[in-house]
Amino acid sequence: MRGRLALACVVAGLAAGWQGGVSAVAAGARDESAKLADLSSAPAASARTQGGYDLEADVSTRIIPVGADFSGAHVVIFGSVNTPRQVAPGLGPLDVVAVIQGQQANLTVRKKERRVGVWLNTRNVEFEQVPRYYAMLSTRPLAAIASKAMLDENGIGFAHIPISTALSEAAGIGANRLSEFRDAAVALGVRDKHYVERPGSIEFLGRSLFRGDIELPANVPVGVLDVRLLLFRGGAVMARYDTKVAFARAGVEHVAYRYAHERPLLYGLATIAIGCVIGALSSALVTLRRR
Amino acid sequence: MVVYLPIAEMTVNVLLYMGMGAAVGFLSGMFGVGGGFLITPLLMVAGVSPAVAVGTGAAQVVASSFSGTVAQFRRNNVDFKMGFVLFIGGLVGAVVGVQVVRALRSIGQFDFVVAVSYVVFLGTIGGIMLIESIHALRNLSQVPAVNPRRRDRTMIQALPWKMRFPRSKLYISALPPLLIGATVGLLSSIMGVGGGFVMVPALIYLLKMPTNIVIGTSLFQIGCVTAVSTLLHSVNNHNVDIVLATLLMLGAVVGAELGASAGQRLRGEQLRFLLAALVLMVCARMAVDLVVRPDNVYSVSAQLGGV
Repeated sequence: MRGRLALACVVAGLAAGWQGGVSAVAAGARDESAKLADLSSAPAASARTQGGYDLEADVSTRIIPVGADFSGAHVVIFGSVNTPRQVAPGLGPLDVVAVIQGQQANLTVRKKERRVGVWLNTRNVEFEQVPRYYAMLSTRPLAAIASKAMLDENGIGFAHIPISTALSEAAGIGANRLSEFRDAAVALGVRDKHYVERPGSIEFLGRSLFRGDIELPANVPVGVLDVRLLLFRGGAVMARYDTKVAFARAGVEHVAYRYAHERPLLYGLATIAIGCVIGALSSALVTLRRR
Repeated sequence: MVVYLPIAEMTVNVLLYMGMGAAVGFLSGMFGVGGGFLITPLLMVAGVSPAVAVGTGAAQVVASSFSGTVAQFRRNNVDFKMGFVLFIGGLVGAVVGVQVVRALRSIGQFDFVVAVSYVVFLGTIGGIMLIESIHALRNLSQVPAVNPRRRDRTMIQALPWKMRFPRSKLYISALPPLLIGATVGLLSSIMGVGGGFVMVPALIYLLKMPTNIVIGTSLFQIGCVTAVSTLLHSVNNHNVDIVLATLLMLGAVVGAELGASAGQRLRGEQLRFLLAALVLMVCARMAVDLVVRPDNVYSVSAQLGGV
């Protein structure tokens, strides 16, 4: 009986701590939504133009809530282009390229090899500041739009994503192995739907209006996505436009995530408390049924 | 009905994962084991990252062992003094284990070590149990070869720091229980299991504790150790998914009830034989993954600021 009382006290104590924490987290959530409000109203988007060309665009959703029912999101990118009245002849058609890039992280790529009959990781290469999400949409195949140097400069396309190792490390790794591991990283990104390359998926609706869309999968790394739009003509960037799409953890997911990272001790205790409550309930139910 | 898991960062079907918990709960109720050794590999097969599978598997074991402890406590089958000594050893093991997990993750060998630990431990225990249960099934009428109550002066009896454990009717050194506890704690952290499959035979055959008290005491100790390793995992590795753990726990307690009543219709040797077969199947599955060429020889891990 005394044991039960003690347990009740512990549970009550946990509940009190949990409640205090919940209100703190709720306050945090308000901060975050205030931040996001800034993001949607302030000029988060910016445009740069050149030679009378102009690019105006937007995304259908600037803030994607990630709640218990999150199962991916569909984002439409749309906009219009203005061209100068007089265009030098022979410059070719207008092209729009959209690059959607997630937060960067250091990435370790490992390779398994067979050693003494079993497969284990033997080699690894560390890349610095690799985008965790990368999507490229364009009106036409990239080779038709700009030169390799130009694509490299703007990080457009899988072959031109800036994925590099720390300089100190690069020296010790052959160029072949570096590109092998780089390709593997991209291939794994494609498998997980974190890396998407879809040339020809942006279409012009008439002379100036364009539209493209992207499906963000449920396993997308949650964070801010930078959206860059570039207007190309004759192999040169004529105008650009930047905006952002942000994920906002909402509801239980938000609370759980913040707790796990900011108050991990309380989070762990809460998990244990849930376990004990479910365990005790089930045991109590069994005894009830036996009576 | 789907739900998004905040730590695993994936969307899963609620019923599928509760069903997974129920299936494991059924088996754990039937055989009287925590089920961590089943749930952790199952989660990995389902696409949860090994780290999250281990952290969350440990949390799930808290629920099933807590419910088991309550039931055993009512029958006065828990030796709290012994449980406490085992737990002290378990604490040391769990703390060391979480650091080992961290180190292994940073050098990229965590998945390999987990798989090898599973193959070695499940293979050994499953093999021994299979042989023993087949012998028992064949010689039902004969007296069992091992008599747990036999008291001879073994090495264990000669060790210092003797303690009295009235509930288990033992007067032995505190060292073997501490060591057993530490081993189980280490396994619990690295493999995301309770370690009942190591603890129960060790207490019966090494310490010669009465079987009914072994089950209650090991459940108690496992509950404590997995609680601590859940806590350590959340603080050090942030790899416990509370939503996933809750789904599994809910499924597991329902399954455990059904499993316990199903288990009562079978004889002890039959249960041990089936459990051995199950353990060996999980072991074989992990072993195949180790030796067969993987679909993709490359893997990535990202280190964001805090993730």
